[in-house]
Amino acid sequence: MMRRKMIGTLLVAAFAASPAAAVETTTVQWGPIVLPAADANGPGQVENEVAGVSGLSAFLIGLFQSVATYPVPKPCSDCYIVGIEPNLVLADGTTANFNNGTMLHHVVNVNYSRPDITCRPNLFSSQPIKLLGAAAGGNERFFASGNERTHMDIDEGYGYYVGSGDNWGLIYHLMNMSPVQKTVYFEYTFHWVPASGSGIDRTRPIWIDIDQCDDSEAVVEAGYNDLHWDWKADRSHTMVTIGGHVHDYGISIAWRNQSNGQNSCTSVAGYSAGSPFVPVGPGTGADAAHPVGTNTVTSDPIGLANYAGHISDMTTCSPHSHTNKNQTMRVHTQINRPNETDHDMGIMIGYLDEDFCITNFWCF
Amino acid sequence: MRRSVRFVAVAVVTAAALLVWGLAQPDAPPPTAGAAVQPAPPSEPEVAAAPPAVPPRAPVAQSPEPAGWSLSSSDADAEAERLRMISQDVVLRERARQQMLAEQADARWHEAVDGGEYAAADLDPAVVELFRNIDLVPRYTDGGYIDGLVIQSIVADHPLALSGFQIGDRIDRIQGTPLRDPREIPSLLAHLGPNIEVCAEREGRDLCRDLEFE
Repeated sequence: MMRRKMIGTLLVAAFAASPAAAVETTTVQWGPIVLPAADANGPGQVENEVAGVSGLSAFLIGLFQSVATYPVPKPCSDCYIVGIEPNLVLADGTTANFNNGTMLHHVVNVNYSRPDITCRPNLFSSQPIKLLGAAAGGNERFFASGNERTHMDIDEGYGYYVGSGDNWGLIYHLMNMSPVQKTVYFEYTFHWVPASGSGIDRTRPIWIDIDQCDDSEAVVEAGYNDLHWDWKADRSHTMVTIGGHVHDYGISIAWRNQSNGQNSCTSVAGYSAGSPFVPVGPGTGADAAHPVGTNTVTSDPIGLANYAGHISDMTTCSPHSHTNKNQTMRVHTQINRPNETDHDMGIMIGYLDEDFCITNFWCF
Repeated sequence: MRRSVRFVAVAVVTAAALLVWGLAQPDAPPPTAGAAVQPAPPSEPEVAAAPPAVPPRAPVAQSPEPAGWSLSSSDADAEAERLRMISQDVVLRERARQQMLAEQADARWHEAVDGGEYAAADLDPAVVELFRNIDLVPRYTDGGYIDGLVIQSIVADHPLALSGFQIGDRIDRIQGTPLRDPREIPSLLAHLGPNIEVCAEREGRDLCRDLEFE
């Protein structure tokens, strides 16, 4: 076939500043999820269930994970998300937390339309998140929450882009310690701006994990632990905003450039006064990545008492620290526990402003 | 907790092995859900995995259709299931092929850039702007080569969107140079200035625009 060539010229005023767009707020609910009642064997659980997949993807993921059937709609399309406030609620809309026997062990927000940059989809991998990505067509983990339900505000001028064709999903683990079955929903409040005319630059999420690409659950000894995972940066970038997640007895989690010694962020855990779940000993205080103590939290948007002393806060940072390609970044997770466990976590999610990429993986 | 983790690990390994097995068997259907998780009840997966049934010839008096062209309801269901399995197998094979091609193309890109001779600061700002706020996915071809970059998502006020390009367009030339070899793309980009000609293919048509960045 003869290809017809159309030629046009466009003068692009590419570098003109755009006026700041008004931030809109949308709250979405995803569910229902039925949590079995606790019994003599322990809490009722829905563990590592996947939502937001259908067709062949659901069939393949169903080979190794439980798959939920409810949809996971986005709060907006062709927009930038600039803030996220996660929560878990009961069917009547009240917050589901320890005060009513419920725990948001963790939830991961996934965009099936883009690949995760640190755990790239791989059809032949034995690691669940890579296999899931290959089955679903993508696995970009762009947000996550533990029971502390940290709010994430991406620094001004930046956002997480949501395309019109993006498909969202969830991976989660929920627990019910009460003797009655419960129906719960994820309830997220998103702050966002329409992409067009916003003047916002898109950031790319990066998942950082002491159990990288596996199930994120690590074996941790009793006493003081400093756990690491290294990433040789495959792209030059600026870390715009980043936050962390640890479990009870966690002190802090930090992201540091090992090549030049620059600490990018230290996310510190927060507990209420008198909490029985504070670390049983201090951090080393050796440097900014290893603080001595935790924070004492005095209030919380969903009620500090609802946490019953469990971890209720993690600090976030907007460091704007720059990393050159091929430099080594390392996560430092301080935990000081009274006993050994096989399901502790140390995770950070950051939002990168890449210097220059032409595809998801082809970068300078 | 440890037991459930082990279970997931075993299931994942099993699933991966079954997927590989499915891909390696030209005529075999993909594994069923029951195979990876637990022993399947005898009826459902076995029906799905059964070889194609020979449709019985229907009595002429009971069917207005030509003899040999009619299927009973159960045969039709079995045939539909067999075709579904075949289509899944085709999709899986294609995903595996795309993964292999992507790895080859990645290797060629990294041959060019991993030495550290390219940096964003050395690029014309127009080039950086051209690739900002857009998702491009290579169309992979054999041997580590590509046939352009397909626009997967683009912000409405991106320079390419403003000049008429849209999701699904395949950018196949920049400044007249075909985007074929990932190893040569960094050099191409490093030599671009503020005036950039971009050409894309859309449903067999060429769409070219000269972008002049101020």
